[in-house]
Amino acid sequence: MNVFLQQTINGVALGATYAVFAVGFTLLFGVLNVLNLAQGSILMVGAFAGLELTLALHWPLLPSFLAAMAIAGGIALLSELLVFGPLARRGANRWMGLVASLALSRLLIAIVQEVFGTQVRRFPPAPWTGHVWQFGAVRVQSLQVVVIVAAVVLMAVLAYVLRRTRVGLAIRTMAFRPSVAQLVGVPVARLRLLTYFLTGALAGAAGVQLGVLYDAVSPFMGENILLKGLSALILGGLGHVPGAAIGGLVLGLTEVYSVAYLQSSLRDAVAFGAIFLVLVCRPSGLFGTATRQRA
Amino acid sequence: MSPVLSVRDARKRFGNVAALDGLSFDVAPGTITSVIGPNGSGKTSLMNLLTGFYQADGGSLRFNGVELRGLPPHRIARLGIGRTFQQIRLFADLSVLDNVLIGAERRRGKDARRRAQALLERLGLLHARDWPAQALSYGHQRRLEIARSLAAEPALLILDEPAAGMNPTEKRDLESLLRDVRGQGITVLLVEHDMELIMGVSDFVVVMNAGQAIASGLPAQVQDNPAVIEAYLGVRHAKR
Amino acid sequence: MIEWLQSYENVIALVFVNSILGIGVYLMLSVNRFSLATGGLVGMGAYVSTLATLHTGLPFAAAVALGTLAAALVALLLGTPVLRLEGDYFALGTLAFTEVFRVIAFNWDSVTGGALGLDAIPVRTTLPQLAGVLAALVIAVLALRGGRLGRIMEATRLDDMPAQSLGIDVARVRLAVFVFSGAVCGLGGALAAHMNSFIGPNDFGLQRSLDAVAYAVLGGLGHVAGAIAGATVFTVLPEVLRFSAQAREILMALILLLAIVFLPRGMLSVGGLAAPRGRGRAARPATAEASR
Repeated sequence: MNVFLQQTINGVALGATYAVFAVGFTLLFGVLNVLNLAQGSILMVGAFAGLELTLALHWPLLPSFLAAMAIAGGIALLSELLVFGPLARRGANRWMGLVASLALSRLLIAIVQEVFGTQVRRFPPAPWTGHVWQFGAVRVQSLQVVVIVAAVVLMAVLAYVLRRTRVGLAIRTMAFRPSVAQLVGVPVARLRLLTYFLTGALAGAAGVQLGVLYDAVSPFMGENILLKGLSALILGGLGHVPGAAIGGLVLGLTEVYSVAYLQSSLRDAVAFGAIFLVLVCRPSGLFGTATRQRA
Repeated sequence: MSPVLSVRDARKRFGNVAALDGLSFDVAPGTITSVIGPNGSGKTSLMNLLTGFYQADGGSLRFNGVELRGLPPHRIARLGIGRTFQQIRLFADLSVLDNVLIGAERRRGKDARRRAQALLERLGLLHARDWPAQALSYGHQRRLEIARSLAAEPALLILDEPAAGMNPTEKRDLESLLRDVRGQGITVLLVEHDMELIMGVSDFVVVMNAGQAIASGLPAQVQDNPAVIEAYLGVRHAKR
Repeated sequence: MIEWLQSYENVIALVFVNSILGIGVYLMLSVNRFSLATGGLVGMGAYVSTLATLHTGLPFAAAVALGTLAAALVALLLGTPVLRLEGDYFALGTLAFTEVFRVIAFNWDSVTGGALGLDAIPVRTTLPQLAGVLAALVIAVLALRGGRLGRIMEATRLDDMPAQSLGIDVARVRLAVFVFSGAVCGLGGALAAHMNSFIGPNDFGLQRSLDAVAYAVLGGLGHVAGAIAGATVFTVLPEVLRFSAQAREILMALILLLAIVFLPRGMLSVGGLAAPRGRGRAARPATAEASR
């Protein structure tokens, strides 16, 4: 029982980071119908940005975190300006956008590798992340609590923006019917940029969270996370924001349980086998609607 | 003469809404039969039900005696039912000829290309055969969509608001095209809003409201039917 | 000098193999379905043919045929449920398949050699064989696409509803193409396995699928030659950039990005090959709005 509780805590912390990443991922898909496979690398860039700011400039963790989000968001915004936007305007098909995101991903990884090397780097310990609370045989790290709280705050802010602000309304209009959005005067080009920025910032946040949680940052951390993000997307329903969050959480828990209770190398197979079953039995995901409604 | 199409007590629900609520009517062979009704009366649901894109919740739909319920769209098409769509759905990237060829090749025989060209000529589109389909004018695109369906040699042609967006000249051309089609022995089932067109070309009219047939008969009969007027304009107007 | 020529031969052989895989992806995109099953299906062909060669006395051709058939069969089994899904979900379903395949190959030590893979595979594939297979494949695809069946595929690609209302069983068309493309992947995998003399599970994951997609998309979807053009560029470019070991990856990715942004219809759109008579533009899938 203790093992179960412990793993549940671990799973929730991990799942929280997956949720943050997946929410950004699905938002981009839901709003702009773009499957941006560079998201994993953007996450990685965010992790490195946060790392460098704390290590080299000795910034405290919170400002680094926010700055990393801004930097990652900026990279995503640039990619829309220089790559995805032009492609969309030139009538490229969706698959070309996908291949472009792959090339972008490779570029980011190559640049980071060139600048920082391939060694795994670690975040320096911060004063309030080293605490451990003991509940019987169950250990809860303050680090995990911080990660979970950060995730919840981020998603609450996003939900507020989407549901309660005019900008959020405009974004949801774009998701529903891009042509209608243009007709009612939504500044589509600017909103595209904003959406990319938001999703990039979320990926960057998840990057720092993961880097801190696992105490490891490497140029290749993004690829694995990308797959997990895709899985969370499927579980929750493509384009369904709350679904993605829950999908991420479920994925974190499943991953932790299967490592604890099954052979660890099979954990990926379990995840993908589950995805496959979900797709075949309920293609719209656990929460998606049958019709093509998005966001 | 037995009807080519026989709908009995058709039912279709979407959640709480009954799109079709016990609809029954017949279509006699070799006629142009029109289905009219206010928006929301269930006309498009009927079209999709007949062509297999929706599945009925109840009732029966018989085409020359064969039950259509449960059949997928391509099987229904192969039985001899063709259709056009409310929003034009041409194969936009393909040429005018290729669009019709795809229809013509549904029938066995080596002469698909000859038949397709003959059809284009009859419909006045032969000159455009190598153009991309989207280069045609709106009226001609509608015409091409009908040509494509005709090329598959259906026994029943279902047209979903073919006159939508047409100017009066195009509508007159459509009328004579429909008579031409009927002259070939093809039964036409027409869903339309344009009353002039309906009254001018129909042999038989079925009026729908709230998922049921509220009246049917010759165009003139239906026009004066108080129930029909009420459905379209409200109770006050029915009491002359 | 001899060594330089020999390594040249390897690159050409790799271009041929990658072209074959790219054509597999191109075939599915021609019916408007984005498949990421390439990795798993190639792996199927590779492993089955290798096991046949290593453990039974089967001659090379028979082993390759077996690998091809195995991949086609798996495509049939996989395609039947997964093709019922909408485009994006179909892609993700095939992704799941490929990754499951990779993990199984990684863990099934007794059969696949696990993480270490299978080696000491006799080298049987020759360059003329690869060239011949590729040529035959191109001819087959061109014949397929040119006539009645090609038009059926186009209708299926462009718009399901009118295609079905004309009597085309779009589900059956897609399944048939998927099985054919599976056979093509299996064939490529079997030939590649007997060329490299080693196969391992990481050759057959998502990365392999994405590379194949890149060949087809980058080259241009209007013509089967696009997949060959894309495969050639993708395979040769790293070799050409060998001189700058440091920045090679960066240069490669940058060149690719530029190629994509400046040739959004694919490389072949430059020569006009992506717009054959009457067919309008390249194989753009129907937009999401149009198919609502």
